[in-house]
Order: sequence, then C-alpha cells, then structure tokens
Amino acid sequence: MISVLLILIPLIAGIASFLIKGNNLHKQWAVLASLAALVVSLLGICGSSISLNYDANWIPTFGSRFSTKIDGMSQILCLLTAISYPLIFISTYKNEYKNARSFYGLMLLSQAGLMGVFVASDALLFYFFWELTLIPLYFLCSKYGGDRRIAVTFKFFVYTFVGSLLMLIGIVYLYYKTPHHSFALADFYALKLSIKEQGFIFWLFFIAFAIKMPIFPFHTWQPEAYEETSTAVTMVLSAVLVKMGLFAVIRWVVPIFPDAVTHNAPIIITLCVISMLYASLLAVKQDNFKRMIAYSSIVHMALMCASIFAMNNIALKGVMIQMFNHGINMLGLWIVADAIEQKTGTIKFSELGGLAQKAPALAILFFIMALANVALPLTNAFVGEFLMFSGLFQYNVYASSLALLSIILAAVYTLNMMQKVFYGNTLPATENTTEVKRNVQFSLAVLSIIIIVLGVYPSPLINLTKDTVLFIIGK
Amino acid sequence: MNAIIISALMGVLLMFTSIATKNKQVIKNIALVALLFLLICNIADTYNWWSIKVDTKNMFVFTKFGYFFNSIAIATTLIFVALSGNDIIKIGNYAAEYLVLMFFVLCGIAILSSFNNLLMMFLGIEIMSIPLYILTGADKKNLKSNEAALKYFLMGSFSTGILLMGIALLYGTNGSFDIQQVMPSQELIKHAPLLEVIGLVLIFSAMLFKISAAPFHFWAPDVYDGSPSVFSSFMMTIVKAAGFIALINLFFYKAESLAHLWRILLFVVIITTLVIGNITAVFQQSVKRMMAYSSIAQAGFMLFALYATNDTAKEGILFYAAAYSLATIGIFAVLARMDDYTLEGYNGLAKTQPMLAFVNAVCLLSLAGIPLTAGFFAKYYMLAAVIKTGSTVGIVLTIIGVLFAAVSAYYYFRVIQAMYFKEGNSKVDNVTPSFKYALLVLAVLVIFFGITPDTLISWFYF
Amino acid sequence: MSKLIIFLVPLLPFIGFLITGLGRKSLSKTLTAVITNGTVLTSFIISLILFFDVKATGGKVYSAFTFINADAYKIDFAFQIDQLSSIFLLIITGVGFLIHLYSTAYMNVEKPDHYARFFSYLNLFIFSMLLLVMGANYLIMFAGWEGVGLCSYLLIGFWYKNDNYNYAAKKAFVMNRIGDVGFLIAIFWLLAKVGTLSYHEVFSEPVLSKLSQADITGITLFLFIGATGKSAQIPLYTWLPDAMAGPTPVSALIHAATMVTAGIYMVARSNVLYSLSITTQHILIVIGLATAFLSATIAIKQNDIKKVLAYSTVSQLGYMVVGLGVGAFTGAVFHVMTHAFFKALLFLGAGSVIHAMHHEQDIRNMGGLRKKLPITHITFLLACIAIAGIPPFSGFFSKDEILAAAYAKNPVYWIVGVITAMLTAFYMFRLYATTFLGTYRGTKEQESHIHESPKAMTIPLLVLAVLSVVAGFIGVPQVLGGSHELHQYLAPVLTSEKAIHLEHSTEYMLMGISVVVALLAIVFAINKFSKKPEMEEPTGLGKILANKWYIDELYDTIIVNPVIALAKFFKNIVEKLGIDGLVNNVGTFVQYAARQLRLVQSGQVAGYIMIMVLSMVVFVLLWFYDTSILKLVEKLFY
Repeated sequence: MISVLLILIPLIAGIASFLIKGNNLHKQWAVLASLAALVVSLLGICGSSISLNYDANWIPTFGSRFSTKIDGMSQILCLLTAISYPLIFISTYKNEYKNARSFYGLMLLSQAGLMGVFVASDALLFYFFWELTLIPLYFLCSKYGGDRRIAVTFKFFVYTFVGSLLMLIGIVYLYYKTPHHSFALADFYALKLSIKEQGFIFWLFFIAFAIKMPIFPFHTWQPEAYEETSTAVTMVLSAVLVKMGLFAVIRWVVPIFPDAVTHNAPIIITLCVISMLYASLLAVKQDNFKRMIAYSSIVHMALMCASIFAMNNIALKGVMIQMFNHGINMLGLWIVADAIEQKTGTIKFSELGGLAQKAPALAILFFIMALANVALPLTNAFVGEFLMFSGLFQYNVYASSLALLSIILAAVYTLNMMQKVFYGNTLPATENTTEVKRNVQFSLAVLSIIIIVLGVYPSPLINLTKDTVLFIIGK
Repeated sequence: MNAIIISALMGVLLMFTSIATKNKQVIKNIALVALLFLLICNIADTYNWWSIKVDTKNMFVFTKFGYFFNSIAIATTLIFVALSGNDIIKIGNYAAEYLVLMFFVLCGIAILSSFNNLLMMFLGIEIMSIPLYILTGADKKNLKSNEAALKYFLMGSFSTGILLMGIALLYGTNGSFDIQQVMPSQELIKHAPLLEVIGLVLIFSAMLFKISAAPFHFWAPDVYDGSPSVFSSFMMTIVKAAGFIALINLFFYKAESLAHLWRILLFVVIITTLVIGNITAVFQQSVKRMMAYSSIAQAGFMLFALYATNDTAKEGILFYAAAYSLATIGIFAVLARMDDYTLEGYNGLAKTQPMLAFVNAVCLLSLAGIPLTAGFFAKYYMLAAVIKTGSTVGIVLTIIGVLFAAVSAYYYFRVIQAMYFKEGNSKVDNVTPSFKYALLVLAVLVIFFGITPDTLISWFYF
Repeated sequence: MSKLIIFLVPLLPFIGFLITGLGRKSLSKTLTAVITNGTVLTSFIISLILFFDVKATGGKVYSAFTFINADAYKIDFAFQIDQLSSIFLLIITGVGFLIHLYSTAYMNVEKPDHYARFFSYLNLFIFSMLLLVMGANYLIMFAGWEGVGLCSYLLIGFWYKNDNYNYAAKKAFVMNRIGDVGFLIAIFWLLAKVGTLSYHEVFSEPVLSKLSQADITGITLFLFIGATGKSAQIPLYTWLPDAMAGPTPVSALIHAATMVTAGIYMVARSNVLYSLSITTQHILIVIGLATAFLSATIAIKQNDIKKVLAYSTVSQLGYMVVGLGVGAFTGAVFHVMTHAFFKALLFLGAGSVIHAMHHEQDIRNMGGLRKKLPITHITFLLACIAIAGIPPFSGFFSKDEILAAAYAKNPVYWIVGVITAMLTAFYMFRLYATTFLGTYRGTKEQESHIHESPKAMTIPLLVLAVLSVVAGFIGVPQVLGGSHELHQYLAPVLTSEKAIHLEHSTEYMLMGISVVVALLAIVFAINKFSKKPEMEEPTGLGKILANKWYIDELYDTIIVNPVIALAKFFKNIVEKLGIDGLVNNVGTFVQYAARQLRLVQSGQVAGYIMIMVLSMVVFVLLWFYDTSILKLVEKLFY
C-alpha cells in the first residue's frame, strides 16, 4: 500500500495543482504534498503496520500487472526522492516562475514517476514510469531555463528516448522468453538465458541505463542540460533522476544477466574509470559553476557504476548508500548554485569572488557541501566511497588505484571552486550581494545535518541495504 | 454483409436528402445518425444478432477480425465527421456530396475487410479509391487541390492497372480468383512459375501503393498536402488502414508459406519506408506536409505486422489503426482551422488556445509512441509481434525501427516546442465550445486507451 | 578509565569549535579565548591523568559504536589509549594549549568574528589531531588524518582575501591528498588481505601470518607514501614551506609541533609491520636522510625567518624518518617530542619578532633585537642550542639516539646525519645572529615601536624554553648513566624495537664528534653573520640553494602543466569536437539527408512511375535470390 501512496500522493497533488488558482497557494500546496510523501516513505522505512507492496491486474491480455516490490534499495531511493522534493520547493520558494501552477504540477508529476520507477516490479509498469518521469521533466526543462534550453533539452530527451526504446525491445524479448508470457520481475529472474542471448539483450538494457547515469561516452547531454535548465529542475535531474540508471542496473540487469555481467564487467569498469578521470580533468577546467558540478557528478556516478560491476557485497553496499548520499550532496551544491545565481546573476567563476565576506553563512554551509563532495571522512560521502573503493580494490587493484586518482582531482576542482567563488576579493558582480534568505539557509542546514550524521553514524543506512545485497550477491 | 449493403444504401439515401433540404447542418446531422446506425448494424452483424444473409458463393468470408475493423473504421469516421463535419460541409456547393462519398468509401472498406476473392478485392479497392479521387479535388477553386486530384487519379489508375495485371497472371496460372486456390502453398512456391511470382509481386506492389509504402509512396505527400485538410486526415487514417486489412486478408492465409519468402521484400520495404518517411518529415516546415510524411513513416511501422504475420500482429494492426486514426484526426481537426499550417503558425498556441494545444500535444505524443497514450501500445504491439517471431533479422528490424521512432520524436516534438515554448500568437478560427469538448473527449480517449488498452484489446479476440 | 572521560578528550575541543564557530557573531573576544583555551586545557589535564593511568595499568581500547559494517569486515569507532597515544596526547594538548594562549595575544588585532573563526579552527584542529592519535584503527586515524589536513588548509588560508595564501592552502591540501591516496590504498590492501584495520588485531601473530612478505612491503610502503605527504618528506615536502603563509601560531602548532609528526606517529604505531620489511626500512632511511640533507642545504640560504624554520622542520622530520628506518622508534618519538618543544618555541619566538616588527619577516631587515626583545632573545637562543644538539639540551639526546642507531646500521648514514647536524647548527645560528646580534637594520619607523610582546605571548615562550632544556632528561641513555625512562615507558607498544649494541667508547666518540662539529658550525656562523650579514643576492650554488634546488619549478614542468594541458585538450578538443561533435553530427546528417531525399519528391508523375516500375523489377529479383540475401543480412547485423 505504501508504494501506491508514494505514487498517488504526488500524482494527484500534481494534477490538482494545475487547477489551483491563487498566486502563492500552489507553492504551499506543493510543499505540503511533498512533505506528505516524505511522511509516507518514512512510515515505510520505520516498518509501520501498513503493507509495503501492492499487486493488481493491469493489462491481463499482456499478462502485465500493477505490482510493486519495495526492498531496501527502493526504500533508500524513495526516501531520497521524498526528501529532495520538499527541500527543492523550500529552497526555491522565493523564486518566481511564469505559469507557476504548471511548474509545480509537473514537478509533482515527475516525483510520481520517479517513485513508480523505484517500486515497480513489473517490467512494463517499470518502463511506463521510466518514460513518465521523462515527459514532465521534458516540459519543465524546455519551459524554464537558459536560452539554449529547448535544443539542449531535446538532445537530452532523444538520447534517453532511444535508450529506453532499446530497453523496451529487451523487455519484450524477455517477455516472450518467460514460460507464461509475463512481465513479472520474479519471472524474469527465473529465466535461464543462453550466454549469447544474455550478451545481446544485456547491452539493450545497459545502454539505456548508461545514458541515464551517464557513463562516458554517453554523457554529453548532461553538462549542457544541467547548465541550461532552471536549477530547481536540475536538482531533480542530478539528485534523483540519474539514480534511476544505477537502480535499474542493480534491479533489472544484474540478477537477470549474471553471466553477461561477469563477462562484460571488465569493459564497463574500464569505461567507468575512464569517465572518472576524464570527467575529473574536465571539471578542473570548467569556468562555470553548474558545468563543474555536472562533471563532478559524472565522476561519482561512474564510480558507483563501476562498483556495481565489481559484484561484491562491500562495493554494492557502498553503491546503495552512496546513491542516497550523492543525491543529498548534489542537492546541496545545486541549492548553493541557485542561491548564487539568484544573488549575483552569474555562475561564472571568473565573475565571482569574495562571497565569504558578503554571505558568511552561505560560505560555511557550502563548505560543508564541498567537503562532502571531496568525500572527507566523517561526511556521508566518505563512507560510501570508502566501501566502493575497497570493494573495487578487491575486484581489481589497478582499476581502483587508478580511480583513486580522481579523489586528488576532486580536491583540486572543489577547492578551486571554493576559492574562486568565496575567497579572494569581491568583484563587480559580487560587490553588493547580501546573505542568503532564511529558506535557503534552512534547507542547506538540514542537508548539512544529514551529511554529518550519516558521516559519523552510517549504520542505519547500511542496514537498509542488507536484504538487497544479500539477494543480488546470493544469486 | 450488413456493413457493405447498408453503407451503400445510406450513401444513396443521403444523396436524396440533399434534394429534400439545403440546410447543411441538417444533412450533417443526418449523416452522423446514419453512421451511428451503420455502426450498430455492423456490431449486430458481429454478434449475429441480426444480419443480412446473402449467398456470396464463397466470395466473402466474414471474420470477427473484419467486423472489428469495420467497427473501428466506422467509429473513427463518426468521430471524424463529428469533429470536422463543419469543415466538410464548408467545402463545395452541395453539402451532401462529400459526406455521401464517405459512405461509399466505407462500403469499399467493408468489402476489403472480408473479401475472399481477388475480384472482390479489386471491387473493394476501386469502390474505395474512386470517391477519394473526388474528395482530393473537392476544393474546386484551389489549384493545389486539383493538381493533387489529377496526380492521384493518374497514379491510382496506374496502380489499378498493375493490380489487374497481377490478378490476371494469377488467374492464368491457377484458373481461379479464389484466394485459397490462388495463393501458392509451401511446396509449390519453391518452384512456382515466373508468371505466378510476377503476379504476386504485382498485387503486392499495388497494395503497397495503396498504403503509401516506399517506394510506392510518391503520390502520398503531394496528395495529402494538396487535398483539403479534412480529407487528407480521412485518407491518411481510415483508408490507409483499410489497405493494410486488405493486405492481411490477402497474404495471411497460408502466411507461413509466403512469410519466409517475402520477409526479405518486406525488410527492404519497411526500411526504405521508415527512412523516407521519417527523414523527409524532419525537414518539412509545413505541419500538414510533415504529417503527410509522418503518415508514410507510420505505414512503415504498420508493415511490421505484415512482417510478423501472427495473431499479435493482427491484434496490433487493429489497435494501431484505432490509435493512429484517433491521433491524426485530432491533429487535423485543429490544423484544418489553423490560419497557417507552418510550424511558425503553431507558435504560442498554448497561450492562445491551451485546450487545443493540450489535445494536439497528447495526439503528437501518441504518434511518437510515448507511454500513457494509445500510440505507445500501438508501437509496442508492432515491436512485440516482430520479436515474437524470434528471428534475429526481426530483432535487427525492431532496433532500426526504434531508432527511427526516435527520429520521428524529433519532428513531432518540434510542433510541441512551437506550441509551448515559442513566443507567438497563433490563430485558430471559429473554435466553438462543442468543438473543444469533442476534442477533449478524443484526447481523453487516447489517454484512456494508453492506460488501459485492455478496454479495446479485449474485443479483439477472434 | 571510564569511556566518557576518554571521549571527553577529543569532544571538548570539538564542543569549543561548535560554540565559537556558530556563535562567532555574538561572542566577545575574551569569551572566545576562555572557551577555547579552557577546553584544550581541560583535555590536557585529562591527558595527564590518562598518562599516569596508562603508566599504571597499561593500554586499553574503548569502542563507541560500529562505524562501518560491511559483512566482509566491521570497523568500530574506537579509541586506543596506550603509551604511544598518551605521549602524543600530552604533546598535542600541552603544546596546543600554550599556543592557544599565545594566540589570544597574537591574533588580538583581528575583528571579533575572525578572532572567533581562528580559534574555532584551532580547536577543530586539536579535535582532529586527537582523533588521529587516539583512533584504535587505521580508519579512525585516517579520519583524523584528513581532518588535520582540512584544518591546516583552513588555517593557512585564514586570511582568505589574499589569493597567494589561498594557493598555498590549496597546495598543502592537494599534496596531502596525494599522500592520502597512498594511505587509502594501504588500508584497502589490509582489508582485502586480513579484513581488519584495528591495530591490536593487525599486529597480532595470527593476522600477520596471513600477510606475505610482498604484502607487508607493499602496505608499509603505501602507508609511508601517506607519511611523506603529512610529514613533508621527499617528494611531497614542498607544501610545508609555502604553508608558512598562515598565522605564525598555526605554523608553530600545525606545521612544526603536531600535525607534521602524524606521519612519524603512524609509522611508529605500525612499527611491527615496518620492522618486518627490510626494503621499506631502507627506503625510509634513504628518503629520510635525503630530505634532512636537502632541506638543510636550502635552509642555509633563506632570508625569511619563517622559511628557515620551515626547512629546518622538514630536515628534522627527515631525522625522525631515519630513526624509524633504522628501527630506533623510541628515538623517533623522543625526537618528535623534543622537536615539538624547541621548534614550537622557535616559531613562537619568530612570531614574537614578527609581531614586534609589524609583520616584517625578512631577517636582512632585522638585527640587534636582543636588547629590544630580551625574553624572546633568550628563549630563542636556548631553542637554537637545543636544535643544534648541544648537551645537555633536549635536542642532543634525541638526535644522538637516532644517529647512534644509524651508525649501528651503517656508518655512512651516520656521516650524512652528522653533516646535516652541522648544517643545522650553522643555519640556525645564522638565523639567530642575523636576527638578534649585530646592529639594527630596519626602518626608523618600525624601530620606534619595537617592544617586547605581552605576557600571554612570553609565558608560553618561557614554559617551552624550560621544556626544551630539560625534556631531554627523560631519555638519557645508559652510556651517560641514565635509564631512558621514555624507552621503558614505550617498550610495551614499540615491541619490535631491538636494542642496539655499540661499544661505549664508540658511543662517546660519536657524541663527541657530532657535538664538536656542531660547536664549530655555531662559532663560525656567529662570527660570520653577527658582524656583517649577507645582504647581496647569492650566486652560483648559493643561488640554486636560495631557489630551493628549483624543485617547485621542476614539479610544475613535469606534473602540473602536463595535467593542465591534458585537461585543456579534453575540454576543447575531445569533448567539444570529439564526442559532442559526433552526437551533433548525427543530427546534422539527418538534416542533410532530409534535404537530399526531398529532391526525390520532384512532383513529376512520370518520374514516380518510373521508380515504381524499377522497384517492382527489383522485387521480382529479390524474390528469386532472397535466401542468399537473407544470409547476407544475417551476417551484416549479427
């Protein structure tokens, strides 16, 4: 039942928000709805009496059911989604959007889609939500943002659309492989595919997910999209949406194509390590706050992807908690980016500087985000990266040692950013900026607390991953 | 049999009403009623509640499949007339004539959905086509319309010739028009005489012409673009679908014997159709012409069903016909009332006419095959049907198919971008509330079939 | 000892950090000073208690909760209080407190909120440093390890308006990060092999038996890479001199007394592992000696008072590494301690001078300050003697212990060591002479308000001076009739240490030589520089030394610039033209194809029909030759 609520609350709230009149009403409505979703997901985690899953007929002729399966990983990602949206709404509360009703409506719809992706246990349903997430985001990205947004968004859309259609072929293929022609996840797991089949279908699935993450060389849509679209939407993209790829690999690829996974692991891990170093180097050279965050995000995603294919429980645990942590940190960085853009009207490093004098609170809060971004011990990101690297190390010493170079570069670009934006003397753009608003400070403070708490005491999160890891590695 | 006879009768009847009254609205409403009646009769026939029995000497075989297609065709025509009726009666001097012709087209379609004999097929195709030539030229004062009509007629008659030639050759080799006799069986086909093969190929090509599949598509863009918008949508959707039904009736019998032989032909045809349809559509500035090419592309997808030749394909083609017709009719209903057909014309429609923009968007998404719209399951069916065959070439075909689906997304989304993200004030003439709500119903239908396709599919069990 | 008290030691400074950090807007300077000094002082007192408790009852591990539990291994958030960590606790909190006290006066010019910021950073540093030494496993150590790196970054860049300082700070952090990668690899290696990180398990017999010789060498080497970062050894030492950009108390606390000795602590902590790998030990010795010598030579030609001290720090750290290399772990720890005293003293003295000279750091503009700054002068002189290794000052005993051990391993090591010792004595007294002796060379304007520093600064100087004089006596070797309490105290932790056997006569000889050499150097330096200090720009070898052997330039050319160039290449070529170009080209290609295909749609019916007929012919052909074509297609796609 929880799963249905997680989908329905934002869905209904979203549709409703199109109908709400009144200028600030929909803002409050959106915050309220997203908080409700948060409460539900917390209930789910705290193990309330309400049943988690739900199962009903959907398209009997295809043998497709509206069935959901919530495991630890889904819990984590639903929680992430549920936490992100209220914070996004609160931190951007002061921003004004033209035709705000549809803005908040679409945002909530996208949340519904994401929740669906994370809980669906029927391939067709999963595909359904997978695309559903894309549509509202497509409209959001194209409607709000920079000048080149339409073209950029379209590139992003087509990229992912091709991917998902390939995945659809894969799904249908598996569908006809199942004995009684069903889309049920369990039946897919039960399949015994020949090596050749696996090798073929695996890629149909993986490309779709690799584009979402994104992994080199499918990544070029991301920096542009992040740069052009309005920050509130970018938060959704980078904090939650990209996790769909990793999540899908763990739930929809690894257990179904075990042989293909072990067989292709070297290729993919190599790709990931390449994209880590490549993106890190690119991040060093960026002069644009958003682009830099985008590339650093690519680095982290690549690490997570590589760790999945290391196929040992250490790395896998790391990936799962890192999915959450990375979401939190990205959120923080983007909130700061938005705040800076709102204050100074620019996100170019060359035009920023000396903000620490003007907005000390922002500087400190951002510094915490930055530390999390370089995965300093006792911040949440460290635990995840530690597990992933150590898992990767057990899979292959050289891959993980090479990948480790990226944490040096991470220090370089993150501190560059810190220095160029906050230190030094003020520039015309930053001359008369003031401290950021309370709502921004609040959301950043919340994130900082999460970062530190999970950095010092990660056990609750790690325990959530137990069942999924057991299942995947056990298989 | 009901559909065939009653549609013809209705046509004749309607002609006389134009003598009785000059009021176009009245005639339109009569036509609507007639269509409704026709639909009921056909459904009655489907379930043998009441049907006219005629000994057709086994020239017709009435299958559920055929009946359902009739129902879909009639129903979509009904929706079409309900939506664009006013645009139809605006064209030409006598209100009746064009509505009447539609009934005859429906008659032809009814024949095509149930023939069991090459002659009947020929009759059906001609009964369906000739009115279309007139409809194309309906806008007498418009030069483009006339040119289109002429082209259509020229090439149409050419294809008719080819069809006849093919039929003649088959008759020559088998001494019969009956499909069971004519269609060669597994063992015969291995060493079928050249004439027979040529006959088959000629018939096949003529049918490809009707469904505007490359490389027999050339008439389509010019005709669809030239003829009055209302009629182009009619031709693109219902008529084209009828062509597919004819092909299926023709070749699904003993499909397996033909299948492995002509799959190679289809492979080539499908790919060329997809390439030409999609790629050319990308470049069009006029939405109308873009839709013309997209209809070719859609034909390419529908051909998947022929490639697959299995039950899934049969279901699929019906679903595809319904979904595609709904979406296209919706788009054209709006387009017919737009001031200018170019992309610029659509700029900022979302502001001036949010409702129409929304409906348009839904229909376009459906054509692009995005989930939550009927179009998705249409595409899904086609892919599923081909994958079901389990052949590697099939999967390769689907992969090529989805790549072009992505291309198609490009040009469909350009319209959405124009409507929602571009500044401008596009004009739509005489948008009445009733028109709006009719459109809304259509959009709801598209989404409804997109969420629970079962409501439609569950009928298709034959 | 109850858990709570143990955890109070690091927690108190952390609380101090939180209070002063969050309340920096509202707190008054005095309040800030009281809170931060108070917390550190309290932890010092607790550390004292702990010290004697350990002396009485021995070491113990206190676990708080499971930090990381990844089925394969389980890492606790645990502290280990034993002889080694308790010694470091004393040094950190003790010296730390004195420097806090000193800073209250030194930083008094800052605005209240920056004042509070400074002290919150200092407290955070103390917290991280305590974490580092108290941690009961390598992960907690690593946490502190990175924490202190962070604090040093923050404090070097404390005056963040000055971009050079920011660069120095960044350099420090990044170079440390390079070392940290080594550390991490070592950690992963351990986890992969033995699945545990806690000291008492790793150093236990059964676990060690799981490790092959190669493993041990590898792990120790990678750990040492970490050490080279923190403890500024070749090749990662260049950040330390630049780190002098920070406020002088910071240089004293972090970049002389405590943080830079973290590497030494880590190796000493892992002495069991290190003593098992001959290769690593040799590498340690070589690196140590090279660093000690190289930086000593550089120090000779520096004119910035803090730079000289910085290079001498690097050099002294080199000594300690040698000590670790030759297996004189006690000696190394001993030297860490004595060095903490006299080097902190030197820096604070320098700070007092700089304070008096209004942020003048170039010794060529000083001179004759002994009358104007009596206390600073005396204490500074004592520290110089101590570091030069003149008995009975503390420096002598610790350094001598290391040198003796080095001799026992191989006389050549000893010779290099002694030469370095001589250089040390020389540049220290060059510094002393140019600064305090001779005649005043600064501007009149400065001279007008040169004054001895306030109590808050001189008291720490005096305390440290006393310590640098007497601290040596806890480690008097048998040969001088001592009993080396420190050695006995540390024996339980430094289990792997083997006693070195030298003839008493040789030992006397060694001591004698080193002392004489040092004395000669001192006398020479004083004569040379008290009268006429070198003002002219150096030439020849001197120039190279003044320019630090051009090591920074070398690094730039062989590492930094290539990386930057590569990044540029990726950004402008690969990304823009390569990958993204490819993606976009697909789009442009479609556009192009569309334009071409449109031409086929000529509108000429004849042409259309022509094509149709042709294609029908093709169909017929396909029909007959299908099978072969099908095969072709199969091949093409699969």
